Order: sequence, then structure tokens, then C-alpha cells
Amino acid sequence: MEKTIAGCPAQMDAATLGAWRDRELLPDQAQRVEAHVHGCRACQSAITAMDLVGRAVRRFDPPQMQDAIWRDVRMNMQEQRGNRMPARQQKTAILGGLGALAIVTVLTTVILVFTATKPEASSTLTATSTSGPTATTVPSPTATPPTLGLTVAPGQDWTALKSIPNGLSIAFAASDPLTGYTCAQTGGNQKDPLAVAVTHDGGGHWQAMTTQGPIGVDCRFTVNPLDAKDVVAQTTRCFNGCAYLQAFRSRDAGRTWRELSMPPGANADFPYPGNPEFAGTTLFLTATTGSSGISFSPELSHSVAVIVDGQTPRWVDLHLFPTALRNYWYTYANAFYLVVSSSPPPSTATVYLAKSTDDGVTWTNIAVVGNTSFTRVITRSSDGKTFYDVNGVSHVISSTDGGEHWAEVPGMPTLDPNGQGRNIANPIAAASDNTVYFTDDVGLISRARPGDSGLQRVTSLMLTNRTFAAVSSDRQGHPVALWASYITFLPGVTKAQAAIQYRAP
Amino acid sequence: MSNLVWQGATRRRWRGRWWLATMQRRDTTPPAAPRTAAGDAADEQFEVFFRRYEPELTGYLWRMTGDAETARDLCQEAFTRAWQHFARVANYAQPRQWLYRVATNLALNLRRRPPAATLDDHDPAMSDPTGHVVEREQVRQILADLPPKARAILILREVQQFSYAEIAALVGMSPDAVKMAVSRARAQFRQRYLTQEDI
Repeated sequence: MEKTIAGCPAQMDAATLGAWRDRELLPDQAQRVEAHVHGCRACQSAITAMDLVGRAVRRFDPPQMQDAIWRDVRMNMQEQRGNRMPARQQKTAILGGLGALAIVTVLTTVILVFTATKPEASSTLTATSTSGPTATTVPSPTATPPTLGLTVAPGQDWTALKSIPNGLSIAFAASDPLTGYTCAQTGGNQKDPLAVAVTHDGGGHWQAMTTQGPIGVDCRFTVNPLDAKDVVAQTTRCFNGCAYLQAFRSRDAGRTWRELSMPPGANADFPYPGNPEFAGTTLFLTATTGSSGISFSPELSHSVAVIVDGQTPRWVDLHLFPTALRNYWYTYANAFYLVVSSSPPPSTATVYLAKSTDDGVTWTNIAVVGNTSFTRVITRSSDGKTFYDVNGVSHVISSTDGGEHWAEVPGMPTLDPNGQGRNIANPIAAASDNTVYFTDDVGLISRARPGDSGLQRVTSLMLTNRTFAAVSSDRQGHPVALWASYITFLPGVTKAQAAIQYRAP
Repeated sequence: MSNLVWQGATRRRWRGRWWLATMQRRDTTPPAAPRTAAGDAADEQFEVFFRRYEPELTGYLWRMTGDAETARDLCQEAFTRAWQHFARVANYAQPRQWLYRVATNLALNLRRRPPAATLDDHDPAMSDPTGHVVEREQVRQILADLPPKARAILILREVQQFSYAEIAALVGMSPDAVKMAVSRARAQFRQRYLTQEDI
């Protein structure tokens, strides 16, 4: 590394010249250097190069995260006042891979935090067992599930509510938009109860279900679009890399639960549960088998467990679409729909929809969407029958007939997720006023609605693609709040952590 | 509906973040105390302190770590410590220096971590016609390749505008050693930067 300025006849010391530039020299020394620099092109060039370095280092503005960091700090302040481990340090403790002891300690801490929290909703409901051919007994919860409480405050920025460890699913009922459900892990073990909370006022208050309920690790909810009290939780017995698909159903808004019978092979390789879906009286439990985790791999295979009341549950193997590189599924009006893409996004692909009205026995192609890149079909939670997607990564399209016909949403801005035309905006939730929420490829949430000039960022929070989101509405179907949970994966531990976030649309 | 793509992206985002365990604070947690009017006033004073210094501290940590999420983690940690000691810190003649000292120590403890993956998840050339993202990535990479202390010294000088004496106090060196270190860091950065410009 150079110690003197190359080409300088006086062999000026580079550090001294830099100190002169930085106004760090004593006055008499500074005068000598200054006199020299005025007549030395080599030193002038060296100064110019130093300026170049400074400009390069300063040039790019850092991200604006003040409110998010303030929330972190304030949460730490509040938790430390209660002698609790700060929220983000719970994450870092787990992240560190400190071994099983540390993990257990942290999770225990979380449980203790929840245990110490007095539920706001005091009306704990009593379990009453139900009889039936598929009813099984599930163990009593070992910890009081968290109560999620928030005040709806329009215009308020995202508010991190109580952090819930290890996963969270959110679902609101299409037939009663004020009713919603969440579930989360309490301990992360296969027989630990899942913490279930129910709201009947659009999320204003959450009521913890302390009764016997679903068990497991991962959890996905669906609510019968025709009956807000009919809810199914699809779970697995471990979060990642092991297998066991199971499902629990409550027909009384989460008061009592029974485990559903599963088709043979439910304990096979089903590490990644999909979302359960109702189609009339049929319940579809979706799961992914094969080399899961490799996006868009042609080796991906999918199976759907079909459970029809009063009939023997069975599997439908979606290998019947051998060229499919990815599939999404949804249900509408007693039919099961499959979205099949023939090449991975963001490149254009031939996308077509297949429909089955006989519980998956036969399928009919109902629409070829064409050269587009369907990202994720979502349902408007307030009615359960309006579907949204993104056509060609830039135009929001919707369908009100199950997907047979799609059209661009009038007045909706062209999507440009990051202002640089970069990559995909994944729709995650939609409201009755056609506001659609997206995560982009870095996990930021934005919204688009008719009349807007473009996507509007609604949070600086980095969510993952695996975001559970729903819009709660009032009785008239007007959107009240966007709910989203994010999950972060912890290397070496592969647990997930979620916090529920809220923002009034 | 199901989305099968989350896993890879999520894993990428968290790849190599085991080192965050080293950030586990060892300070003794202060005992719980009931809130008082004086306590509320102190909180308000702390928030003013936070909002005044957070932007520049986040910028410093962002450049130090090359990763927004890591910078956020370290920044909230630095301010949490400031809050724990705020009765003392608030009376310092130069609380900013104290804050930077904590932040610098936190950042330097990351020296063994794998490179940040923030921009590695994307090929910036794919969708960056202006080259803005590419150049930012180049600067980030060059800074990441500097020895951690040299990186800190260069940023503290060129961005935060600390004097040599102040930097010396922050990193535990003499002012003369800082003078040499600034010069070396500039030369290293310039050499890499100009080389990449030529490419």
C-alpha cells in the first residue's frame, strides 16, 4: 500500500496529505502542506481520489427504519421493566444456535410471558366433548394461549402486538366478516396444544380458547364460507423436514374440537401443509410431497386429501398434471380449482385452470389464462367469492365466477413493486373496496386500489413470502384492518417466530 | 391457496445469521419499577435522544454490516443499552460518542459472520437499467472486504465526520494510528473501487 504519493517530487506522505484534507494538521504543518499541494499535480490528484472515496461511501442513503426500530426499542423497554427477555433478543437467542438448552430456555420464557399475561377476554369457554366416529381426545393445554388485543385506530401505522412464537395463521369468515381465528404454536412439540384465539368483533378483541383444541406444530386455518362457526385447522407434528398431516375441526367457533380421520398415508412425507379449503360439504386438505422447498422444481408433487362428511377420506394425487411446475388451489361454489403453470415466474408462462366438481375424481380445463405469470390467487375474505391475481406481474385481475373469466380491475394502477420494475408482487389479501395488498420480492407490504397512481408502501416491515394475511371488515363489508403475520426461519434450529401486525387500511 | 416458493427465499434471508447470537447482551436487566411521572418524563427525553441520533446510527451500522435487517438489530440493541444507562448517558458531554462506541463494538463483534446476503438474493443487473443497485452493491462489497476496524474508521471519518481523536477514542487507538488507518483504508477502497470501475 502506498505510503507516499506517487509522482510527487517531494514524496509527500499519503497519511499526512489525508490529514491535511481532513483538517487534522496543526496550523503550521497545514500551511506547509497547503503550499505544496497548490503546486503539485500528483497531490491534487491524490486529493481528488480521496474525495472520490468519500463520495462513494456517502452516496447511498440508508433505509428509513426509525419507527420500526423505535418499536423494537420500546418493546424492549417495556419487557425489561417486567424483567422479561426483550422480544428481539428472544429471536437472537434462538438464532444463535446455542443448543437445545438455550432453545428450551427461550421458548419457556415465551410461554411464561404468555402465561403471565392476563387474557383480556375473561369469558373462557368450557370444553364440551363431542361424540362421533372421528372424535379423539387431545391433551389439555400446558400453557394459557395468548390473548391478542388491539384497538382499531384508523391511520395508525403497524403496531406489533404480542409476539407469538412459531407460526400463526389468520382467517376471517366470509359469511361473517367480524369473526376471525388465529392459531399459533405454544411449545413447538408435536403434542403441544396450538393456541387458538377467536374474535367476534373484527379483531377488536381476541378471545383465547383455553379448551382442548388442535395440537401440533404448524397450523393453517380455514373457515367454512357458509358457516362462520365451522373452522378447520390443518397441522403437522413437526415444523419442517418431518411428516404427519393432521386436521382438527370445530363447528362451534372454536369451543370444542375433534380430530378428523385422515386417509391412509397421512403420516407419510408431508412436511409442508397447504391451506385447507372448503368446497360445499367437502373439505380439501392440501399438502406437498416430494422435494419440497425447491421452488418450481418439476419434481414437486402434490396431493390433496379429500374429506367428505360421512365418507371415507381419500387422496387425490395431483400428478395428473405432469407438466405442472407449480400449482395453487382454491375452492368456489362446491368446486375445487387448480391453477397450473407450465414454467416458473417471472418469465411468462402458459397458465390454465382446472376444475373438479366431483371431489377431485375428474378434472376439466376451464380456462387458459395465456402468457402470464399467475402469482397467487387470493380470495376476498369478506365474501369468499371474488378472486384476485396479478397478470404479467403488472396488472391486477379479478374473477367473480371461480376463475372461468378474468378481467383487469378497473382503475387499478400498474404494479411496480419497488419503483424499479423489479420482480413479483404477490397478492396476500383483498378488501371489498378492491384494495389488494401485496408483498414484493423482499417482503415489504404495499397496497393498490382503484384510483391510486401506483403501489403504495404500507409498512417497512420485512415480511416473508410465507405471509398469512387477511382483511377484517365491518358488518357492511367495509375493510377495517389488515392482519398479517410473518415467520422467520432460524438456521440450525428451523423454528419459526411470528408476530401479528396491524394496520388500518 | 398455497405458495411453495417461500422456503428458499426465507432461508436465504436468514442464511448465516447464527452470529447474531454473539449479540446477546450480557448486561444485567434492571429491576422492574412502577411507572412514575418522572419516569415518563425520562422516557420522553429518551425518545428525543433516540429520534435525534437514530438516523445517523442506522446509516453507520447499515454501511458497517451491509444489511438493513442486521443494522436494525444492532441499532435497537445500542439504543436499548442507552436506555438502560440513560440517566448517566444523558449527562455525558458527548452522548453521541458513547452511542457510537457501543454501536462500533457491536458491529466489530460481527467480524466472523459470513457475508451479508441482502443483495445476493437477486441479480441486480436483471432489473437495474440505471446501474444504481449495481454500484451500491459494489460499494457494499468493497466495504465488506475491508478489515472491520478499517471499515469502521473509514465510515466514521468519511460519513460521520468524526475527528481523528474522536475515532481514536471510539476504536481504542491512538490518533496517529487512526491517521495511518484512515489513509490505508482510503487507499484500499480506492484501489478496489477504481478496479471495478474499469471493469
